[in-house]
Amino acid sequence: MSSLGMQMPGRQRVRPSGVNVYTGLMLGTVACLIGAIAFVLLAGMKVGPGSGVMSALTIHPEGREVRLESR
Amino acid sequence: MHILTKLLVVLTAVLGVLLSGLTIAYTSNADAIRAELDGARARAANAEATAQRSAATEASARDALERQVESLQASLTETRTSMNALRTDNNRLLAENKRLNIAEQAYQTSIDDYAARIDSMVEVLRGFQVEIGTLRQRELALQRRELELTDRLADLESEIEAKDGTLRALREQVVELEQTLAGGPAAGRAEAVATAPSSFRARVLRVQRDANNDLLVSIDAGTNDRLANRMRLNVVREGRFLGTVTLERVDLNESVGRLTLRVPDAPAITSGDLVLPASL
Repeated sequence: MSSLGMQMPGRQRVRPSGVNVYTGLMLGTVACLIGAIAFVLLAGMKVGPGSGVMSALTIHPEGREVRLESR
Repeated sequence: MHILTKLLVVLTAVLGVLLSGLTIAYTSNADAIRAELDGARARAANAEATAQRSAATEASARDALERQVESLQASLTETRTSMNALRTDNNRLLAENKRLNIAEQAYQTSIDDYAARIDSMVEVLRGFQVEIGTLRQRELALQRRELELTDRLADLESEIEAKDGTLRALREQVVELEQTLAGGPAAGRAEAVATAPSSFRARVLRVQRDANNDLLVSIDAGTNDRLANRMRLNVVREGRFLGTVTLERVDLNESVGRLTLRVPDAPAITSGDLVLPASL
């Protein structure tokens, strides 16, 4: 019932959640992911077809000659 | 859970999805690039091998061309040398041609001179020809005269020979008559009356004596010359009558006769004396 936002009488007092160690770990994880994404994005832009940020997510067509834009 | 933690979890999930997509794309592109790189390296190796072969072929062709160039240069040098020699020969021939032209002019002058001389000599020869014709006419007349004189001389000689034959026959008759009167050896042999042909001529081969001390004369004529036994022949030397021989043995080419009449003061008969028919 508590999941439905209903407060029952006699229930245990709900203490407000605060920032704990998991929050710090998640924050570090997010920072690492952001850095990894930045590095992979830059490297993917170098090996991907075409130009722009979306070239890092594009795959070279099969059976065709690989053409890289001069950067 | 704090709202910040929730937000970070959501953000982590989103970033994880994004990172996985980027990683997949990056890996695929890296594989494609790696395959392309391998192909490019293979093509580069092939191209390099082809280039090396081409370079080797080109080097051999270059060597051949260099050798050809060297041979052509040698040929060119030889040709230049030959050309220089030919130029030298040409100059020499030109000089010789000039000299021959000068000599030709001199010879032409000489030829003209000789032609003029020949013309004059022709005129002289024409005069000589006329003169020779005249001389030949005179010579023919003289030859005709000489023939006439020769015929006349032959007639006279024939007449002289006939007179000599008559004289010789008369002498024989005189000698025979004298011996007959003196009782000589020819007295018993008067029966020898055959005569030799008038054109008969012979020579005495040898003279010898028989048992009766009569002279036997051998001559180089016989039956082939129409001689016969008992035929009478005269022996003469240099036109002088020496005696008469009567044949007693006649062979084909040799005969033996006995001296039946001999001139008293005549020289002895020897080999080589002329023998004539008794009628001459």
